[in-house]
Amino acid sequence: MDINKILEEILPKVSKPTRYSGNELNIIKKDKRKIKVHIALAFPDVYEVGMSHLGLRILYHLLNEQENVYAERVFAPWVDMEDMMREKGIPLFSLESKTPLSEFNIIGFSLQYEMSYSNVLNMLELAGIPIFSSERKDSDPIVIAGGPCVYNPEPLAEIIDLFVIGEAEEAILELVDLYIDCKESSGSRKEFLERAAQIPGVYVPAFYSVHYNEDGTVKEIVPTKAGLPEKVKKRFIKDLDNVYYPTRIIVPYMDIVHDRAVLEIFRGCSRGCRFCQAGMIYRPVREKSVEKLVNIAREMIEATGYEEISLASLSTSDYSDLKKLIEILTDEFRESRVGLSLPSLRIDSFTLDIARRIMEIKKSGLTFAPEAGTQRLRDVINKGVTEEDLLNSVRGAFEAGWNTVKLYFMIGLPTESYEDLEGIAELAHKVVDMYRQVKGSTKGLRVTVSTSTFVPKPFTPFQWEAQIPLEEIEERQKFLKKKLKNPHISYNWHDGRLSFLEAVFSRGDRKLNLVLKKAREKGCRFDSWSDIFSFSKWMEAFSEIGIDPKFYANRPRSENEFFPWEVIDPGIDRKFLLRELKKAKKAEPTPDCRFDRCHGCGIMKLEGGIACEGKNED
Amino acid sequence: MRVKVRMRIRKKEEAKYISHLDLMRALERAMRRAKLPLKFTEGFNPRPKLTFTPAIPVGITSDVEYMDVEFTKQLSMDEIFSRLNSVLPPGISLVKVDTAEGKIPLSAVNRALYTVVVDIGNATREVLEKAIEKLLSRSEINIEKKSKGKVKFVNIAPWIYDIKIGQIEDGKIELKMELAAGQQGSVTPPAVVNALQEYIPSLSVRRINRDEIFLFDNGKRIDPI
Repeated sequence: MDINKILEEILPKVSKPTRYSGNELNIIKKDKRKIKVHIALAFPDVYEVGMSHLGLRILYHLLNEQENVYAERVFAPWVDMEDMMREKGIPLFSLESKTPLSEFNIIGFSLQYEMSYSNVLNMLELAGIPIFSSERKDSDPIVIAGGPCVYNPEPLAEIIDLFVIGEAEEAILELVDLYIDCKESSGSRKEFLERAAQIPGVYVPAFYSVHYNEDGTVKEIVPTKAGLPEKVKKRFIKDLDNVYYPTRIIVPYMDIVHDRAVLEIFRGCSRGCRFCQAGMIYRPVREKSVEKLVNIAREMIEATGYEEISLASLSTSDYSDLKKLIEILTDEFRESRVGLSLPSLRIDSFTLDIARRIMEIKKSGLTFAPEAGTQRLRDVINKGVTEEDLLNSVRGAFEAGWNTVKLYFMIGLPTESYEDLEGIAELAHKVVDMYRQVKGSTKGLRVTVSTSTFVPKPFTPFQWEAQIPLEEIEERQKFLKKKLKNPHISYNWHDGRLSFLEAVFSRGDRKLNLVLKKAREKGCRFDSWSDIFSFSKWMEAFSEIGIDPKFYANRPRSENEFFPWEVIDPGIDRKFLLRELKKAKKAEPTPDCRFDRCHGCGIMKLEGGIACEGKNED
Repeated sequence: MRVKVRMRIRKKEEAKYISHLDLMRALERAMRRAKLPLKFTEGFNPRPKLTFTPAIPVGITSDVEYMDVEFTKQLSMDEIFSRLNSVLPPGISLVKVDTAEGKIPLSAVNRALYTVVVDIGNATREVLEKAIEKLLSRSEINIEKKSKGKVKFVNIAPWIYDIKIGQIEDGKIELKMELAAGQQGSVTPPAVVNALQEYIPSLSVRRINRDEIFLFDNGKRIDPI
């Protein structure tokens, strides 16, 4: 089948055809006959979402640097394209060479959020690849996955052949070498998977069996082959300053979600917010040097022509040399009008000064994330920001000329009461009052309050906690809607039903594989797109398989329960997490270990004592 | 200093699905890569000063995408051409660079020529000739146009100036269309093809290219470059 020829006919009829046409600047094309491993990097969402993801960009260019490897991209086709493809019998194909996915050696999925799982299944289905790992033959591609979701791989353990846990830059190359080696010997998937399971950071679920207790909880997950680790330790890059980072990156034609040059300044975060999974699993903190970053930025802008650079990390203001970095970058790019954007900024007087510098070049909105409405609850979640800090920063921002402020909160946090919700509304009104104080009136002011619903995540102190019931989520949103009636405040909230499903899958076990298959059969896909999401189909899938989703989302866990994700070792001690949970219940904060003493999270012990700035254990 | 330069750009097969807005963005980024001395607007959100000829629907290649851009420095046209052409994305290339001074404004163009390759299936050339003749003689061809969610009918008949049959090769026929293209009114080949399909349902489009765009005034043709 000549896919190119059929595309000629159908692309003019679909929305946003550049999602499928490829040919962007800096795209890499290779001769398929001259390579040894053909890898499809698959992102289970549309092009504009997937292309905004840094990990995919890094792996694409890193893999293509290898002479033997040809890495191509594939995204989930939007529903209009999917309909056309099914009608014309076009299998899912890669963007670069328009090769059917089933002809690749390896397909690597990037799992960034649980609600993309149905798209993983749909993409396999569109590619004509069996959904379950056990059904695949030697001629089928090896299906691998990475990303933050794989810290609990179990809900996909029967679908994905192999998970890469943690930062993949090194492990992926080891897998590629192994693949070439196996291809030259037996070429069987069994041999490949058996040998791959020996690579640190690689989890092959087919070689681990799950045993359950009578109450339905998991008793243990044990390796079924000799020589496999009981827990798979995550991989991470020790020397971030010298790790490969692409600069000749692809520049999409269409307007993607984050359409700018991304400069990754550090990985990890030691703030220790108790709800935050990223803050735990990406430890330890590792920074890149200012010199390196400035070089990367310069090369990237030269190779792409981007008009904006965004500093990427979990908490931009925690970069040790932020002031210097920003001074150099703003000077460097003043004349060429390349703007700087700083997401995830904690706003205080220091960062406000930085924000003013950036405003010299470009104006962007201001976002604050107090997460909770009262000091008590902020202490519970260890979000070290006070109302005074926030209002001072807001005052500074208003004085500096801003008039648009976004406030992010979470509802349903452990121990939350209506008093805490009231606090959210009060804080929003105080921001309005502050504007009036500074400007004399409320003219031009826009305050946006957004709430998401707390989802307990694996490897966080709150992994033992229950999510509040769905009805209660909706009750609390209703309450806030009423409290936030003000012409200058607009209130957005995240669909509680999605948060509920996210809670099910983030702490799910292997039984959920069947639910996923059932939900896919019922047509579930693009669940994070509100116009496509169908909650009722999901609920039908659960009841037909005979699984109660509340068991996963709304059940508080006992201290001793074994968790399905504990087949993975992210380097964070269970004892530390439990200590943190107990401190949370007493609303006792734990200061950042970079500025305080070490709290013994365990990351120092991973790989026998590694670089970590904390010195003295608790 | 303010130097206004006009460029004629070609959009080929590899880039034919990119929208007008995408093309504008791609060209701005290319000029940044070429380190051309772009003049920016004042204010919080500085943008380079760019103007273009009217947009064409996606899926159409073009030899005539014109862009005016302002620079802060005088550079030779050859230098601009070679610096920019070497950094353009696949499927986009420069045809010509010239000063914009003393030329018609790009907003003045009102007419374009297209090559439309069609397949007429089992219909004959005579049938096609008849269909074109009928179409050209009509004073009213109403087509649906959606804008901002509302559907309205537009008469495209006065905007179709000519359709000629060109080369024929393995059953595929080249049509040369001369259509209105500009602020006063415009129609694009897909709409004309739709109208032709009323007479020949088996007709389908293989390829469309915009060949030329210009100002037609008092019987005289003036090109942007």
